[in-house]
Amino acid sequence: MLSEDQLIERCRKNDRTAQKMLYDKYSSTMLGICMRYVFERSEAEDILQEGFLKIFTKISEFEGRGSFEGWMKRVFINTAITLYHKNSKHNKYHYNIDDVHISKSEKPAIGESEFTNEELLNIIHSLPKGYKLVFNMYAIEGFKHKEIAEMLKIDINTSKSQYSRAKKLIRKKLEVYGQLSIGIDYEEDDDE
Amino acid sequence: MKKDDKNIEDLFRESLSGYKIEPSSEVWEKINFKLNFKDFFSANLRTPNIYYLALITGVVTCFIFLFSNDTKVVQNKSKLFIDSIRLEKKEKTLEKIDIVKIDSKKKKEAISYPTEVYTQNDFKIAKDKQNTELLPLPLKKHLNEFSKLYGDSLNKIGAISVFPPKPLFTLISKAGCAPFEINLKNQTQMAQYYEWSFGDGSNSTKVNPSYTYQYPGIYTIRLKAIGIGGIAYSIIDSVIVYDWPKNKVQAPSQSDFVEGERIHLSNESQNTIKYEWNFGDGSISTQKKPDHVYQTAGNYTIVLKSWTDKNCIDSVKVADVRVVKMESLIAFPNAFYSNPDGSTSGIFDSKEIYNYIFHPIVRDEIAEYQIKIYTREGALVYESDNILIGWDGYYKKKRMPAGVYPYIAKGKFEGGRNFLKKGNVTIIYRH
Repeated sequence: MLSEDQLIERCRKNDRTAQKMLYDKYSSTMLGICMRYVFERSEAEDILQEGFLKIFTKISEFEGRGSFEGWMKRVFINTAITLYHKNSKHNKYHYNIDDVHISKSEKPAIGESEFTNEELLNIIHSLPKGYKLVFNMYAIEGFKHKEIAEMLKIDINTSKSQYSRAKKLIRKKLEVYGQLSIGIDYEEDDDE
Repeated sequence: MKKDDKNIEDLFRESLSGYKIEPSSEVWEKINFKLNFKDFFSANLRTPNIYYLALITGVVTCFIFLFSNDTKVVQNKSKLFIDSIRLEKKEKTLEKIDIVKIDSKKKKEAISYPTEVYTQNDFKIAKDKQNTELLPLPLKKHLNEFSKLYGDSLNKIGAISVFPPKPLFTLISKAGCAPFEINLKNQTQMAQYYEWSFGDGSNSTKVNPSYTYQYPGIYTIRLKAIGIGGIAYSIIDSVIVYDWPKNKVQAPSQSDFVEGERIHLSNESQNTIKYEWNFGDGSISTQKKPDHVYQTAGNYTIVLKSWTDKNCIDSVKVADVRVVKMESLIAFPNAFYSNPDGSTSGIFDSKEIYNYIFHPIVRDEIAEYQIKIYTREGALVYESDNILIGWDGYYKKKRMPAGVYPYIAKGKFEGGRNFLKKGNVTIIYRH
């Protein structure tokens, strides 16, 4: 069994077997992260692929400071952000968060007592792309708004306000889901 | 609220930070393939790849070299080809000009603006007296000018280019309410004369004419720009002139009203959607057919402003009304002396004012009348429906004591107006 440091050393030398072992160790976690940033499985696997290629070719840039897993995560998140910037140029994500509403199809089966990962992911993916990025990066990855603003090339206040609005919407959706899971009959809001 | 926030972040982080999904096997295959591809091209002398690369490069270079010779030949041939096209085109334009000149009496609406080319032959035609009849006047005139100015140089060069006029104009606003004044900006190039027609029979030859459409409709504005040689091109645009409000308001049937009387106004206009009635007493109504009550006597002018659905506005004076106090039409004294000598019939002569009889003074004709007089305690002491009979202050032949007696008088004037008067009359004993 190789230690992580040994594994990294071998990867630096372009050892294909070591690279495969690194991939096997981390790919499911990293794909889990990618699936939070894009909804389509195929898109997420594209990011996964691109991310790992970057990791293997740039592994010499990892100086051993901080966790290797954290360094890898950043690579994937940056890849997701680049994809977002590329797509937003084509106005693919021209979206006003106030237009988002809870639709019938999002409601889970009655009787579940906890939120499943799929439910939580659905909630995240129902947010518009920009807000989804900010929420993922702040709430789950733990970046600070200043860092998020730098990475997304937005104003720090935009990051904060997008986060707060995303959270409001998430709270509303959690209420819907929560009440359904207890078995309360939920009437549609008038504003839907 | 803050606690709530913490919960959302914790909820998502705890659930999703450990979230794993197995990727499909294709992902590693693609990564592996791309890594191999990269290795293949990152050549150094220790790997056999470089020899493969060299071989491939060599082969490709050979192919390029082999075909590059052919391309030179192709280039020469194409040059010849292009030259011959240019020559053909030139002959064609000359042909075209003759037809153009003869047909120039027809109005042309062109989309493209070809450059006309005049040659020496054109001027020969101008000089030939017999053929000048075929040319329109302006063209003749200009060709004469041309030959004066350029005749010698033409002999040398053989051709001269003339640019045709390009008509263009913009309208500041293409729609408005009648009467609608249009604001034109003429942006024509290379023209010497202009002919505007406004679509309603009016014309102008000014560069930037102004025009006002009096009547509603859709009009086509046409600008014909005439350039050198009489070549003319036209361009059109259209404007919409909306109708003004067509009010069908009738003045009220009477011009005099009483304070507190309800006036109804009728309006049968068809094309209006918004209204503002101004009654002249400070109040306004936005209804189409409002009612209004004037509280204070005076002279007022009723004005109606209305708007069509295209926001065209018109203002019209509906009527001048005079509002009078009711007392001036029928008036009751507030006191009288009752006759100590006994009851009278109560009939009085309306031209004289008897102190012994309580009765109203009327300025208008009465159609209906009723009066009831009571004691202060509410007992009815007198009733009459005949305006010519008043009260003598007696009840059942008994003289009523001095004091205050409330009364109610109501009825109708000739003409239909109602009246209602409540008051008090005091009986005074003369000693």
